[in-house]
Amino acid sequence: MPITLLADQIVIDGWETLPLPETSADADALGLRVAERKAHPGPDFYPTTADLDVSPVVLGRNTGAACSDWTPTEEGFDTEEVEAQHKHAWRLIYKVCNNRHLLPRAEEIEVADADVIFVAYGSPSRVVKSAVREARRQGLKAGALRLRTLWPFPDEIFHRQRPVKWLSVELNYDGQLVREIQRAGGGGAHFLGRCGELPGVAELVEAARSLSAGRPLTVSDPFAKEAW
Amino acid sequence: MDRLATKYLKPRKALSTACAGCGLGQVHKKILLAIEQLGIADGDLVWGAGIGCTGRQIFNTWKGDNFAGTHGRVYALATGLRLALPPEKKILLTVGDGDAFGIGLLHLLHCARRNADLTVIVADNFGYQSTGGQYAWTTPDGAVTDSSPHGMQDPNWMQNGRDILDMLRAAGAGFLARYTSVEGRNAVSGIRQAIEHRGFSLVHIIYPCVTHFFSKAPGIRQPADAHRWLRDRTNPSPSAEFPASELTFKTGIFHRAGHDTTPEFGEQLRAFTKKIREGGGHDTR
Ligand code: SF4
Repeated sequence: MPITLLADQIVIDGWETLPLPETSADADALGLRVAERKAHPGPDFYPTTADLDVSPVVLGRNTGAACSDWTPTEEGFDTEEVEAQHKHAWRLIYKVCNNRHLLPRAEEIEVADADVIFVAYGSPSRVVKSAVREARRQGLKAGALRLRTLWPFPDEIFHRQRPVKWLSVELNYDGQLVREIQRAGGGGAHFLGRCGELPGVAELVEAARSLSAGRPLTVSDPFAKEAW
Repeated sequence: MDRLATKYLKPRKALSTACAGCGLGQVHKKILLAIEQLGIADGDLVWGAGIGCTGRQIFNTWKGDNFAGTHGRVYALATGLRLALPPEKKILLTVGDGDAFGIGLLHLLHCARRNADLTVIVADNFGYQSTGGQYAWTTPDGAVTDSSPHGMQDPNWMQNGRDILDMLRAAGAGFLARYTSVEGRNAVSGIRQAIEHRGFSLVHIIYPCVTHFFSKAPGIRQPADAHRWLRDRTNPSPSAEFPASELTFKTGIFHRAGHDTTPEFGEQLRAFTKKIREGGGHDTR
C-alpha cells in the first residue's frame, strides 16, 4: 500500500530527540521488544493474508518475492495491462476508503460550542492550538481541527459540527486545503496563509475576532492573496 | 535456454517477453551459465533490475527473490539491501545503458565509491529502446535514432577518448569488464569472476536491439546481420589491428583491484560499529 507523507519545511528541518536503545536493558526501559519479521511463504503472493503484519516481499528469505514499483497481478507477477492498472488502483482506493475508521482522522480542540474553527495540518497546527487557548482567554468562541489524514478527507468530522466559520491556516498563498474545507464544511470557509514563516498567535486571534463579528479578514497587501 | 530456465527461472516467466531476435536473451543466458558454474542456488542470490528493456524483460524471472527500482535508483536500493542481507548472500543487478550510464550514473558512481559487494550487469542496447529508440549515452557517434534524426550529435561515454569504465574505475570499482553478446566462454568467465569478486563489480555487455536501433542506425533488419555487425566490431585481443576510425569494442577484463584496496562497504561499516560499541569511540583523525 503506497503511503504519502506530506510534511512542510518546518517539520522536515525540525529536530526532536529520538532515544535508540543500545543494550537490552535500555530497550526494556523504553518498553521496546524486538519482533522477528514475518514473511509470506510464497510462491503466490496476492491477495496477502488478513494478517496485516505479514509482508509479501521480504527479500532474502528465498520465497520468490518480487519487490518493485510495477503493478502486480493476483499471483504477484508484474503486468503492463491497462485494465490491470485500473483494477489495482481501484482495489487500493477501496481498501483505504473502506478502512478509513482505522486511520487517524483529526484532533478536535474545543469545537463543541465554537463559532470559528481553525483548520490546520502540520506545523501551523501548533500555533493554532495556542491561538485557541488565547482566543478563549479573551472570551472568543474559537476551536480547532488538527487534521492527521488528508486523504480520505475526514468529511464526517466536518459534517458533525454545527454551522461555523472555518478558517484554514496554511503555509502557502491563496490556499489549497481550504478548497476541501469548502466542500466538506458546507461553505463559510476562509483562508489565512503564510510563506516561509508561521502565522503568529495574535494575528490568528484577530482573525477569529473579525470572523465572529462578521467582518472580512484584513490583509497587509491587497495584491497578495494571503487572507480571504 | 530450456535446461537453465527450468533450473533457475520462474516457469511463468521463462518465456522471454523481449522481441524475437533480440540479443538480450543471450546476455541473460550468459549470466545464468556463470551462476551455474559457481554452483549458486536460487536462495543464494537476490536479483535486482533497473528499468527499460533490460530491467523490464529480466525482472522477476529469477526463481529466488527479486527487486526493481525506479529508473536509475536500483544501485541505491541495492546498497541498502547489501547492509540488510547476510554478507554471503549475493546481489546481482541487470540494468540497461540508459539506467546505468545516464539516469542512474550518480547512484552507480556512489555505489562504486562505497565498494558495496554486488555485481552490476549493464546490458547495453545503444540507447532507450523500450520507449521507441531514442539516443542515450553509448549511442555511437552519428547514429540515426528517433531523437537524433540527423545523426547522434551528443558526445557519448564510449568514443573520442572517453570510456565510462575509466570513470567507474576512478570512482573505486574493484572489477570491471566489457563484452559483446556474440562472445561466449570468455564473457561467461568474466561474469563469473565479477560475481566472485568481493566488492563492487560491473560487466558491460553490448547486445543488438533489432527492433529499434539496428533497423534505424545501420539499417539492419535481420537479427543474424545485426549479430554479424557486432561480431565484426568485437575485439577481444589487445594486439588485434582494428582500424582506428571504426567503432570497435575492446572486450575482456578491464580492471581488477588487488586485495589491499578499499574495504567492502558492509564489512567496513560492521567493523566500524563494532569498534564503537566495544571501545566507546573511534579514531576521528
Ligand atoms: S526493443 Fe530492442 S532491446 Fe528491447 S526487447 Fe525489443 S529488440 Fe530487445
